[in-house]
Amino acid sequence: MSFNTERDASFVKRAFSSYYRNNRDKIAPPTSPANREYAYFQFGEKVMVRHLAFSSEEEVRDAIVKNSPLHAYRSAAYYKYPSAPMEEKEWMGTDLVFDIDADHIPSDCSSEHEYRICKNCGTTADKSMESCGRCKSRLYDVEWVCERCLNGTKNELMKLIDVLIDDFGVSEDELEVAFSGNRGYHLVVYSSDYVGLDQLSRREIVNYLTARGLEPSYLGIPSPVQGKKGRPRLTDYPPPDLRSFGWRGRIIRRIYQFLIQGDQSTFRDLKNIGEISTVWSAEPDWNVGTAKQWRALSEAAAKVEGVNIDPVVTQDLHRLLRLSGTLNGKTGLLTKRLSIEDVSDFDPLRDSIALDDEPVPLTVFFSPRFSIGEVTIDEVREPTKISLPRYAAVYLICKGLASLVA
Amino acid sequence: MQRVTFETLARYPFVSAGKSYISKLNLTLEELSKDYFKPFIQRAHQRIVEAIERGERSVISETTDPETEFISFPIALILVSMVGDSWLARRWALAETIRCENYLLEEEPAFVKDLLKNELSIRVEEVMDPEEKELSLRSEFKIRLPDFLKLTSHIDALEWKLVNRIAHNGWVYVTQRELVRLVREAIEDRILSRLSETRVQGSFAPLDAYVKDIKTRLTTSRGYELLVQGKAEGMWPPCMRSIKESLLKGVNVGHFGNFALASFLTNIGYSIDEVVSLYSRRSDFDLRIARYQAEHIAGLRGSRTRYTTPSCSTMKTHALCIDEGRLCPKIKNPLQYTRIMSRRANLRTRGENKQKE
Repeated sequence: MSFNTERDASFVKRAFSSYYRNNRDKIAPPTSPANREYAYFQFGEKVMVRHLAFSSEEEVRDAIVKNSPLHAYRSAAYYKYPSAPMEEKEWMGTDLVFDIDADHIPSDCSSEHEYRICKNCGTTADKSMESCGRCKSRLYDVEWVCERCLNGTKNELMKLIDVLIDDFGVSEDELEVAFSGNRGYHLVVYSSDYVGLDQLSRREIVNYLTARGLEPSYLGIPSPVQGKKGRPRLTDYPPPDLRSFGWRGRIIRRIYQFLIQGDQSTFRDLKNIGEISTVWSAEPDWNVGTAKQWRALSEAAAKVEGVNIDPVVTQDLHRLLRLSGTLNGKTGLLTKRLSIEDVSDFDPLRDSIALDDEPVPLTVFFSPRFSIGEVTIDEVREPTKISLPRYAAVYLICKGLASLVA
Repeated sequence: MQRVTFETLARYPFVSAGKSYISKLNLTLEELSKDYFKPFIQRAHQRIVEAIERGERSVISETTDPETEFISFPIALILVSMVGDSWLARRWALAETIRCENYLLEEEPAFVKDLLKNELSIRVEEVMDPEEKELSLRSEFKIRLPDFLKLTSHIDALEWKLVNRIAHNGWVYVTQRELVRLVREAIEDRILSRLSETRVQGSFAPLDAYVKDIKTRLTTSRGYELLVQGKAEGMWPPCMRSIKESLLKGVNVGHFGNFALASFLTNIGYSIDEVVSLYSRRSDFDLRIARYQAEHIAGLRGSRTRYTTPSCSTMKTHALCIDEGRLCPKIKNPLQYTRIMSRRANLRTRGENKQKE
């Protein structure tokens, strides 16, 4: 949803502009800044300005401070001529990038905060409704995020970091992790090893992370194998070892957790689950179960361990990513770079606040109860006048849920 | 490589030491007419004939001595270059590659590692630590993950997918057999690039008879000439045209690409012979197998199901869709493209006819 009035838009633009003037150092251009394409959305414009190029980090910062855009992006790719049209840019490589967004994480809370509202009377309706049931006014979509979504994306991010370090051998100093400023994270691997990979290879990386196409028997985990000749017996598989590398290890450790600590009711297929658990708590052994059972457990394990990344972003060689250190026009929050150690304690609605806390009088049309920074906003069901710190006011205005008091 | 023996050169004639050895000999084409070279030329000719006739089932010669084996390789390069047929070049390079592959399977791991590292710039290490070996399903080697991805990008089999491999610390674990299979294309590329460096044109007396013989054998063994050249290709969607072009250039389009094109052709009414003729340009072409596969897709064999062409979204998943479908009208299956285009063409001719009236 966008701004309700032009006055709201120019208020946010002024807030962004004053933030950038005072925090120009926080704008964090990527490596090789001169070989990147930049793009942004200006306030009030519907078309993205693309194919921009700057010769240095300082020039990038100058442009952001000068234009104070609603959204700012940079390419994951390196180009010889980044400002040329796409066919003439001369692609030099693309960093390996990942995007984790609440959209791609199956959760049961999405129905709670994907709805439409009537700005006239504050009535909420579900997504199927076309107009307000009470006053017949137009309804607007609301994109809300809740704490569960934010924790969900963070959990995926931590899984992603683990796999990249353990399996892909990426070192911490090659990683750029950033909160998107709304409801997800992006991660960039700056490694010459991966820069030259084509789309097909990147697709294999996506499949690896999401465990798509995983066939346990190839990893030495019993599974009914299709085909006629030489079906392997359980004893033919190397015994389960919790220290095993890669997906094999991840699956064995997760199965171990299922069996020893987990909620066993989920595995109704396993009639002898008690016996299997007892054996595994002493020493993991394939022989206590059947190939079919191990397959079911492996699939469940892979589902928990797989990383929910947006598959399109990683495969797209010309993708634009939000520029770190800039403000997200959907929230007014900072696209904030995080060190690996900071990830587990990071609280987006506290740690990525960028704007000041000067009180701003607002009319809030609607809002669920939520906390941001130092304030907690109670549920608002009909247009209500309240005064909120600038960062919270901008947050609601950007989501189209509030307007400046006339 | 540390010590390069004639035995090594005989088995792996593409190595850089082989090239420098030959250039030090300062051979001129004239010298090849000396009797001394006759057995080498004969063996070179034999290598090529074998490739034409047997393809990748080429046999390892046990009769000749290492010197003949090695010296005949650059001569074979010259012969293939003089014939100047790109299909032959690829087929011969593949046959030579499979020969190297068969030797590599027998070598000590340390030798394999050195050869791949030094000659093909593939980052590979032997797995020495017993615990590491145990935790990686007893693999003899590990190869850098990005190198693995590049070498497997054209292999469709599930067991080669990264997700079905043991990966750790940026390495992918493989057995010797797997490693040797993995480097096939790298060796083939190396031989092909040696071929493109060898530019011998025109005629040259001591070799002319051999060149002529090879050319004759080529035409008889390749009775299958392109039947479909230019058959209403304007009506083909961009994805299928691109697969076909790759095929003609001898670029590997992967199992899925082959299947997609064959099922497309079958569905728009090409005969089995026409489908097979397209694939005859593949360097690993085997008439019997290609025929069987084409018949299978057409539903004449096996399950008797006639396969439909993969949908646009499946083509996208396999990265075969061109420009995200921007060149196509709104379609869900490549077959629709052909239908829509021929309908449009019909309308156009009808319109023109009306105008004439």
